[in-house]
Amino acid sequence: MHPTRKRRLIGVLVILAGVAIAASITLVSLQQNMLFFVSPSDIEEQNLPVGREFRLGGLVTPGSVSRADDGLMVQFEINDGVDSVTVKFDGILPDLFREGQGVIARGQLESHEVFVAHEVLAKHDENYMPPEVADALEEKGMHVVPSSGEREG
Amino acid sequence: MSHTPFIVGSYLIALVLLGWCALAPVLQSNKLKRFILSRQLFTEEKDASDS
Amino acid sequence: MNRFMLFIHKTGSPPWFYNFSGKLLPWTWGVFLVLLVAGLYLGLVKAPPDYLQGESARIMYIHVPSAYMSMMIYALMAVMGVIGLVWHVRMAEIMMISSAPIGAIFTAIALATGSLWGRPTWGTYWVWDARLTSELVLLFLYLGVIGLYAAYDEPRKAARAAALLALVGVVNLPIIHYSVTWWNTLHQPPSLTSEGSAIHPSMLVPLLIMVVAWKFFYISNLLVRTRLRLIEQDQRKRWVHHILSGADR
Repeated sequence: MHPTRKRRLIGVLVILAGVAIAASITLVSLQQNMLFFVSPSDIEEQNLPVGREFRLGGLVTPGSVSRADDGLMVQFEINDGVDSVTVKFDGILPDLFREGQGVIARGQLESHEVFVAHEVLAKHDENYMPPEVADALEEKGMHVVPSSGEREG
Repeated sequence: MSHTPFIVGSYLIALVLLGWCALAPVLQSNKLKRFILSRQLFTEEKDASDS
Repeated sequence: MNRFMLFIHKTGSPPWFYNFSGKLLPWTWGVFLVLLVAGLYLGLVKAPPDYLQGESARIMYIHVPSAYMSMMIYALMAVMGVIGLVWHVRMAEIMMISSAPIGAIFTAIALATGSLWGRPTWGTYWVWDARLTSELVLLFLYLGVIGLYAAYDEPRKAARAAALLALVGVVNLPIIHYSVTWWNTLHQPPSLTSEGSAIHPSMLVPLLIMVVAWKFFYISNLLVRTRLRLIEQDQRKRWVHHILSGADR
């Protein structure tokens, strides 16, 4: 290769390598801050304090959803398969909120077991299929559709 | 909550943005070509009157 | 191999490129339109609603192809930039800067449609999670490349500066792609991977058709914008006057 062009190419590669290294260092060191949400187990492990605002993510435990008598406050449990936390929320739940579904709640711990949420977002997975296919899978015993019993919103 | 306004909105935004993306260079191109041609004519007239 | 190299060599000649692209354009636009109609029909009429998200999943046929193109165009733009930086190939420089606004618009569409999709499903128009944030950064990178180029009077110098910025921003592409795997995000993991597809065929087919349609839109729009820049930069040259006063295509 022509020496000048070789020099330029090396320059390009050096820039690319330099930026990649800088970015990797930045991202690795920012890991904690990049955490968009923590799981119920993390609350236990990291001993998260009461009163600090953060996001809690997990699955809605089937059968745990209940509404207060005046209909304003809703309560449900979030679990990550290992630990669980009770969540209290008095806003509008998203369309996709249902038992067995993923959610991300933003708020603070009221106590070690109870989390008061200001916002509840539904999280869905990467699967897309027609309703009939989902039903067929359900019948075969493969749990696909989160129980559509409790559909809020 | 009806999902329809969100669906319609999404398709409309795509239509408008892509439409503009496709149209902008065509309009600019026409303007540029007209300009170059008019300058060409002016140069030709100037050459003709100078000689 | 020789014929191919000859072809590449010819593309370096502006009048040749202008003529050749003029002949290609009706075809590339034609393919785009056919694919667009097919994709929209299959996606909006024939495809079923999603078992979980319902009708809002139809936004996928716009959102996913646009997000895909936002990244593909940036990668191409960076490659063209490197060719310009190392080999000083003028056509590469022109096509690089012509790609930038197209990429920016696809990024904007991905962000906007993603936002409108998020509201009825997740329950919010926006969150600062790694996927959404890095895609927004991509938009700013595009605008940066466009702005930086515009700041220079001399096109060759402008291209070099813009190419450098494009190159630096390349590191954002793997971040966007792996953001949903590396970190906890609201945005779900990819549905299409090298291992397979998590999308049912009835939805996957229109999705793939729309991706290809978007590719043909990019090619067509890129050729139009490149031709414009060539005319702009060479407006005092004979080949431009020859083309404009002769066959206007």
